[in-house]
Amino acid sequence: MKLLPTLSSNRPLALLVALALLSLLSMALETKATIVHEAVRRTASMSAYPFLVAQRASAQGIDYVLDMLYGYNNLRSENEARAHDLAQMKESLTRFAEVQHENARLRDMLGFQRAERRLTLLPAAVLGTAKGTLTIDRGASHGVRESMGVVTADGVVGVITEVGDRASTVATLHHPHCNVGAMVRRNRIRAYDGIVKASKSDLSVICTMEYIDINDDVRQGDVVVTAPESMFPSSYPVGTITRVHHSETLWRFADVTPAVDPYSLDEVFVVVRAALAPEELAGPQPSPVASNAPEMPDNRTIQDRFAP
Amino acid sequence: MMKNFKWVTVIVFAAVLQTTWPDMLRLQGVTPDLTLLLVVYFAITEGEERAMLTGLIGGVYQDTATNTVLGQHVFCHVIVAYAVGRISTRFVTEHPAVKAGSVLCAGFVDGFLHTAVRYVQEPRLGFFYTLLTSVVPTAFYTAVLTPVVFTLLRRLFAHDERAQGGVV
Repeated sequence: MKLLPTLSSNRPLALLVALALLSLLSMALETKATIVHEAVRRTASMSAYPFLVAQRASAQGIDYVLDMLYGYNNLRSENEARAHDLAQMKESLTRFAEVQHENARLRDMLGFQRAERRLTLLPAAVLGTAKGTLTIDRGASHGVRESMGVVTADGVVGVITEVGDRASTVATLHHPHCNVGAMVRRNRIRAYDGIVKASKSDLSVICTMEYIDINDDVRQGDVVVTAPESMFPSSYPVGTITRVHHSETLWRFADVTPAVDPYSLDEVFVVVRAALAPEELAGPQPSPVASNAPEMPDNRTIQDRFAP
Repeated sequence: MMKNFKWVTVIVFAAVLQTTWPDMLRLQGVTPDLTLLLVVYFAITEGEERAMLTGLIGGVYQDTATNTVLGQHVFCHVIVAYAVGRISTRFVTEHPAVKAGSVLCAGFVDGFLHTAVRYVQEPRLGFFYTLLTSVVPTAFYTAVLTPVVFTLLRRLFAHDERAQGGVV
């Protein structure tokens, strides 16, 4: 009962005794100091475990955020690069489609040029359109002359009205200066004046075939082609009759929609000559081969043969 | 609380310095016993209890760091701490030479006890040879460092001692 007060009053001595005894006991038992090391290590590891977990989680979070930030920047730059690539590809695609169209057109033109043996055609590119006229890149230096016809594979375009050195102006079927001799293909009926011309409005898409005899059989949907007497080769498409107007006179007139829309053309042909060349008409020349046939007897009299 | 924190920190720092980086302190192959210096300082300034606890912490660290039998350093430091603590109450002067002498004596006693303990456990190590070649130089070297270490410790714990009315 008096132990605690005694210890309390002699605390330093008690502490000395306790520590000395514990030390002696430890030395007697030869307790290796590694036990302290191990205990400290385990305690430290156990104490540090939550902090390690927190540190790992925070490091992962920071890495995630940094990755997200860097990833965002990378994605942004990559997106910009992709957008740039996409724009270039779209431009290339557009150019490719344009080249494809051009290629198809040129193939059609080539096929047309090969098929139309009766025509001598000069290909030309359209430089511009204005009020029913076209400007093409072929002129006098290329052999173009006024009044030459201009066609495409689809039909008649118009007539050359002005010729420059390296460019020419084409009056299309929408222009009042263009008159094309035409007839209805089905029954070869012609108008009284024999032409198809632009209607009253310069910019109208409708051409007119005037002075059709009231008794002539002309119907809506009839195809109008060039007449043999025109500057174009005969039976070449001019357009289609879309409406026939009746009047109280002896004449009727019809609206003709041209076969070719001149405002959507990129290339045309100038008809340099509408018939085959004499050499082509004559065909190939026979090769001079020596004949083995006996010469024909000369039946002339001697006087005729030898008299001066 | 802050005083105890500083106290433990200083002990661990001294023990780490002495066991982990002894080359920083070694002079002619002799390393001073900084833990013993702390034991003597706290015995003089705060009494034998704190000095013995200082010896306990520092001794355990030294035993662990040197991987010897647990209790060797603790036993020596605790006895020295108690003795210095008891004797220092009879000092009538604060002269540094007295403190250095106390450290010298404490070093002799601590070294003697430690050598004896080790000799008991391993007699082949020799007793007197160790005393002459290790304990005596260590005690002198430790005593030489007394003014420096005591001044640093006094500056470190001055506020706490003033607050408690202890020795300044």
